[in-house]
Amino acid sequence: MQDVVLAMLAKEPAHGYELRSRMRGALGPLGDAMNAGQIYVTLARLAKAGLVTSQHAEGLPDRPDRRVYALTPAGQQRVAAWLADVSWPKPDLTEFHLKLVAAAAARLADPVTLIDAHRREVLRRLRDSQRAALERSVDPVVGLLVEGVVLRLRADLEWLEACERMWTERDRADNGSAPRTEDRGGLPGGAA
Amino acid sequence: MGGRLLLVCRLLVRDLRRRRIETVLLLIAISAATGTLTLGLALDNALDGPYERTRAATAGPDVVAMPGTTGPDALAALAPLPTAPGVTAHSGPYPIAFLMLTAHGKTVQAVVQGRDDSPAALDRPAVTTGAWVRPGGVVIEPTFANALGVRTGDTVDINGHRLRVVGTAVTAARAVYPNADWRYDFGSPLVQLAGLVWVDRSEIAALAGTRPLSYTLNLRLADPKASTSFRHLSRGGIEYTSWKQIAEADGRLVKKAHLALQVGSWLLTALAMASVATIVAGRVVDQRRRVGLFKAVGAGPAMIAAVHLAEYLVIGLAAAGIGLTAGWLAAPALTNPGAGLLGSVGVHPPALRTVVTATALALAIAAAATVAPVLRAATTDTVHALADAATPPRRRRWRVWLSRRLPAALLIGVRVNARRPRRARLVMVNTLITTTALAALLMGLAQDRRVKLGESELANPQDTRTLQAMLVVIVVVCVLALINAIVSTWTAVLDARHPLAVARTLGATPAQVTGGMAVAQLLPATPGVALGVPAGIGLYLMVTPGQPQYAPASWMLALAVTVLSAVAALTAVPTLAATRRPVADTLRSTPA
Amino acid sequence: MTGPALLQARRVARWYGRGSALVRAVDEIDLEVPAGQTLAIMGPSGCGKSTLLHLLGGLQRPTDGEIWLAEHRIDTMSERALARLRRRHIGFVFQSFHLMDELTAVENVELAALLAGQSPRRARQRALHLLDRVGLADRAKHLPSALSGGQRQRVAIARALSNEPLIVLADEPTGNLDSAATLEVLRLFEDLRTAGQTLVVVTHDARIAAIADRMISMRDGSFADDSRFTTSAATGAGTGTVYGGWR
Repeated sequence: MQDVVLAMLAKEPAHGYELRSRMRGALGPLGDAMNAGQIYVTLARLAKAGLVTSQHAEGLPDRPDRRVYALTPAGQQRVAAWLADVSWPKPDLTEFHLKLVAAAAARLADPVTLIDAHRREVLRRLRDSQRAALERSVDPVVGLLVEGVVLRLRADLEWLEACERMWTERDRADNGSAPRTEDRGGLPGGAA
Repeated sequence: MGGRLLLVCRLLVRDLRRRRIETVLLLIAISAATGTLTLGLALDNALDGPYERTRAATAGPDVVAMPGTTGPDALAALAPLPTAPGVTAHSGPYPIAFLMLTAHGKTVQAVVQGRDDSPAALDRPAVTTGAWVRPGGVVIEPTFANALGVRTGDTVDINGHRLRVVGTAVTAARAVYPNADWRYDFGSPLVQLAGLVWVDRSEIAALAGTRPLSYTLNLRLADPKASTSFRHLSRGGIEYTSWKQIAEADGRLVKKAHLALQVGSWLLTALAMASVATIVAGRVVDQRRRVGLFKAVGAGPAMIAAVHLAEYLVIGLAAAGIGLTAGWLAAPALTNPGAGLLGSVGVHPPALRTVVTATALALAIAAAATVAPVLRAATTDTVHALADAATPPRRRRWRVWLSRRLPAALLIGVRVNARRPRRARLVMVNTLITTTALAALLMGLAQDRRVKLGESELANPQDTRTLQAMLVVIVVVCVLALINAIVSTWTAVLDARHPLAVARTLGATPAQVTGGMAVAQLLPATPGVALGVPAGIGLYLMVTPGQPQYAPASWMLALAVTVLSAVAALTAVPTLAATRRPVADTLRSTPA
Repeated sequence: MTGPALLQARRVARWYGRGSALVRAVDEIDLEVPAGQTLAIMGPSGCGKSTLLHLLGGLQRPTDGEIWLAEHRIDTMSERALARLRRRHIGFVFQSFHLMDELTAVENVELAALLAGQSPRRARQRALHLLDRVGLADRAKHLPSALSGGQRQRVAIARALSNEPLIVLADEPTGNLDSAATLEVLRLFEDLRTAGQTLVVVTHDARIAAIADRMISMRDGSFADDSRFTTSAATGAGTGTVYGGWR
């Protein structure tokens, strides 16, 4: 968040409320989730770190959203470094994976049930994002962001499905017999 | 209803336009069959047409009388006939002698009749070239002249006397060469082959020399039934020959040709059906998808059948038109009685029967070849029709097993065939029919097409004509067979492009691949050829009376080799073309 | 939005093969689809969802069970009656569009109407109206080969709607489309949903969830999960936190 605000100031100094509305515009429907005060908290932190300076504009009450913010040279450098940065946010799959393993090992919960709950949640989010994309008023550039979110959610869903398959089979194997398989394939003599 | 009709018409027009080459090929195939049938039917009419015309033009007699005696006895025997009850007109008696004629070093039997310029009530031979008889001149019946190779102005020798050929003429009072009925003695029941010539009446006695001389009398009867109730009878020492007998003898000239055309048109019909089936088979893929779609949008079986059959019926109708026209235009060349009788005057439209039969045949071919795939498509599961474009290649376990033990080319060939057994069967039918027709032709060629007239042999016009008819059939058969072969090999190559490309990625060389495709076609073609040779011989034996000679085995062997190499060559060309494309392109552009 | 059941399946089963090779593609499924509902049936490939759709549309007959569409029992219906029913009351949309290559867009759309015996004039009017509705009025005279994938699928949807069907059945309608074209088709389905069209979509594309009132997950021939969504104005609320994006 800090880097984004800095980058937005790189072109020219701006008011706080301008920054906020620009950000909301770029995020489209996703911008609704943004807390109104969040941007000022960020600006305050940046000022403390010496990355931005702010000036009180003439004839206006001295409130954070009425101040004009500008980058310091240190801020400039930080923006340049941020643009060159190639680190990529990665969803934390490890934790969920370990949760399943732990749940299964300690028989705390059925992993398949856990997966199912997650799957529903991801599906709900996917549905919401895709519905946002359906709005014909959505700006194509903003649509790109929504598409990215949808693609990642679909990847998550696929992974969850793979998890479900694996854990369901593991479940059956653990139970010794395979009632469904027997049912299906008509294997001779249940090897229970 | 109007909407559905519009739909059928629209689909029909669009589809025909989209597949022009296939449409043209279908047209050719069906037209060829209907054309041959038309030709055969036209010959039917030709059997009596020319004789009737000649009879009308030359005031042909109803009955010709000839006594078994000679000289004055013969004249006396004939004397009461002109005044006999029921006789309305007569001409003659004209002197007649059975002599030997020599032309171009060949001495043959000739029936010599003495005539003069005086007008005759019956049998006024129509001069076709040159002039009528005069002293020192001879007029020859044209078929006979053709066989002898003499023309107006040539000199011939009759019984040692040199005479100048002054013209040719046709008559309805005696059958044309070689059926002019020569006898060694008057009253002898043994008739021999001969041709007819006319000389001046005043000279015939001198020409005959020591040979006996008799007379013929032409009669017209009041009762038309009296002359058609018999062909030939002998009563009171006089032989009576009716015009029916003569007409039949003349008809025999084209009868065998007619038979050849008829049998040929059966062969061609079968071949055309194979053609249409081959072409239609290539479209089944598309058809199945279409049927599935139609079913999904709620079309009933009748509608589906209508949409698919309409197209073929239209093609069938068009082909019937083309075939009729072609057959009708070609008919004169074959039915032309040649010189022996008067040819047709002007062009007559084909008989209604011909039109109906040919059209029915065309529609039947179109329907027969298409009904099966359409029905199959209409009855398949909609879901399968939509999901899978074509019937997936079938797996024949034994062939796959077998192919593992074979060299690469053979292996590829066997597998390609195992994929599409129905196509292999069509290849077999195609080669079978072609070989049958060609073998029959070879049998025809092997026959002695000459007749013995006395000491020399001359060409038999009957066999010559039959051979002409067979050649027509063969040419059409070959054209159709070629189309079939090209279509089937081309579709086979297109279909096998993907497996062949895979084979190449596994290291098969283009030569092996080409060899494989050739083997794929040769495998079903070989039994076709093997069965076709005996079938052709059998067919010839079946339709030929008497004891024909067999063609030399070497001819048949050459035929088999030629047909098989043609098949191989036809396959090699498109396959080589296909193998010239990089493997990756092929793999990319064809579905697995 | 939901009314009495328009489409009903009772213990419907479809098996293939026999003995040890027996496959229960659809295994005794019960389903009720009320009029006006948009139902998405989801599952991995091979779970039997396509077979189920074919059974519901009368393209295949079940091994066992009953299927009712608007008071008609369709699993025992004659082929003719089924054809008539499909013509009048069911619209199909397929993954590979199944348009006729030789017919223009408008001709493809009016195909079903002409088959149903409508007059050519009325069929044409209706087809043009539908093409307008799917946003392809200016492409009416184009052949399918001149249309993009999304446009082709919209033509196919227009064709499915041509006889004002009671129900539209779609089989992987977005399976052959890129994401932009998928969006076009989803928007169209969303319009149908708001217009109250009953719609059943089988797919493995979770994006279809966006336009569904109800979503069923299918596993190995039976339903694993059946969830209904409230169709309140959905927004991007919460989306921003999907990956904890801000922090």
